[in-house]
Amino acid sequence: MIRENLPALVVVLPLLGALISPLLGRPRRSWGLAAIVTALSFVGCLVLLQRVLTEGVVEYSIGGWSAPKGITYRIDALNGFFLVVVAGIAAVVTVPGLLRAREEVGEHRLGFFHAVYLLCFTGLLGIVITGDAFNLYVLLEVSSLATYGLVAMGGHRRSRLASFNYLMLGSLGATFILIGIGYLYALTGTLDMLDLAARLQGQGDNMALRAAFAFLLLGFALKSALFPLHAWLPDAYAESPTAVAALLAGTATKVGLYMLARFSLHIFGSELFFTTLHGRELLLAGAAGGVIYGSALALRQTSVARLLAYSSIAHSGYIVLGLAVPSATAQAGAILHVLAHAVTKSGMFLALGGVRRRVGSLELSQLAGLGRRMPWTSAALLVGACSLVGMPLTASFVSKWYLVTGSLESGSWGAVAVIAAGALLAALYGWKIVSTLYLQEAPEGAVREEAPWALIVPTWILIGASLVFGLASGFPASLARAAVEAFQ
Amino acid sequence: MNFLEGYNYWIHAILLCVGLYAMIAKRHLVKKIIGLTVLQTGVFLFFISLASVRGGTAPILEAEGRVHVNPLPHVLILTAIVVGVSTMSVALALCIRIKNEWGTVEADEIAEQDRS
Repeated sequence: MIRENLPALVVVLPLLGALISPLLGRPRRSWGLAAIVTALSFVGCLVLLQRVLTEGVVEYSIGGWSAPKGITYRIDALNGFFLVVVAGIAAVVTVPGLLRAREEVGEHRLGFFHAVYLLCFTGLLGIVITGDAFNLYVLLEVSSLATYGLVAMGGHRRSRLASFNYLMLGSLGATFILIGIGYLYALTGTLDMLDLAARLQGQGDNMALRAAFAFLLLGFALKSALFPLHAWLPDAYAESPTAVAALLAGTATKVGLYMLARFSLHIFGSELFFTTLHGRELLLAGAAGGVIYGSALALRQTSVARLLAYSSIAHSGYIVLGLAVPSATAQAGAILHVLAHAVTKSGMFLALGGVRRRVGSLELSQLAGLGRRMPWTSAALLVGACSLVGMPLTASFVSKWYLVTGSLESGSWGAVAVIAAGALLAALYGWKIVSTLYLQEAPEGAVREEAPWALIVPTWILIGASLVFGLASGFPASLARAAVEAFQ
Repeated sequence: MNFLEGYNYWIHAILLCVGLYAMIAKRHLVKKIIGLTVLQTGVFLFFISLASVRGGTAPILEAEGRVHVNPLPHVLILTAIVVGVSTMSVALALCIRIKNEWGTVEADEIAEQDRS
């Protein structure tokens, strides 16, 4: 029974957890519940991915109403990959992040914090797993509304402002996606993604299709913080509690990018989306702008959290760049970069949670000589910075390798130049962190005080994962290739 | 083709523009929220207009054999309205917190305080 209903269970479990957790009373219990539920969901996603690899596409019709009438959960290689990334990040981040939340959010609000956290997780998984376009919109709003609540629980009064701005832009993005889905429905009379993909192929270039394309593209760009629609991201990441920053950095924009990949590669089809409707030029321009602008602004930041947030804008740019370059290798590189960047950035934001606890500030000037005071945390930041640059032995090296070879194959020299310039700027801002941590003298009287182990172990699981995927990249790379080639 | 045929689509487009303008140009946070709500209402109108069929009646059992409107967009919009209401309530709750902590809900005054 569990086997047949697994696709629904991975989403329903966190949803039930979210309903129960405020009722449990004691914060420790709701914390345990959140940890168990996210871990179970992760295991479920792994099993689903394994089934996709052995049996092909897994379909689940909700309530027994089969597609195209009912809502279907449909898992193929593409969303199987994203499911594992999202659930994996959440499973690792939940335990330490919610531990930190005790201090950052306050004991009395913890039950609600856990509930909203699980709701956010439910929505993110739901967006990735669903095979119905309108269901995608509803789950997008579930995760977004939960995210606004989570960001608002940060300690500073600026958190509420960051949350409000995120809400305005996020709702605008979701509404645009809804309009786009409306135009697609008007054109084809269906909401099922497989059906949509089949019926859109017969469509020539027409005004309704262009309108659908334009609104969807704007919505996805807003949700994945693609330049120049990235304004919400730095505040939302820098002002939110540790658990939220680490979860968002690894999942929120990635899910936006998943929607972009699903609609461009699958539903519209590469030919229609990138060539006929000129999505390629638009996305390449936005991606190039994001890589350069995000990296350049990261260099100017005085706070590590904001530095990493701006670098996230740049890395969203890399992924979009890879999707838009006309080469299966580059597209596989983009999918692979989702994994590489998610584990690295989430790990680094977790490490920052420990720094914030011990130092009380994330300003670079306060972190001088931290390498001596917090060796494990600083080493995690060091490896993370190397991975952001894309140095060999890290996961980002592999994904950027695919991006560059793919761009060369298709003769996109501009893309290669942008990736190179981004790596150069990343080396500069990476060096800014590393030199502060290791080369500057620690202030007088500083003692060695490491972050708690409950924070260091998960940080190193994520950072270690970025090393493991850098050394043994065969499996994720073949998965990313399979995900992309299914739609060629 | 008559310019005013399908005038509800024109109203939909106008509502979108009005809402978007208010969200961007207004500096009062509550007015921004009103803009968002107007924008969403424009989308609701669009979906409901899609469903209409000339001379169609409500899609209930007695209407069998007669022309009836497409019920699916109505159902979708019922969900979207719920989403819109919850978005608005979260936004208004945030406004209350911002008013308490910053003493104002004018974006310019908040930005000024933030700089100093």
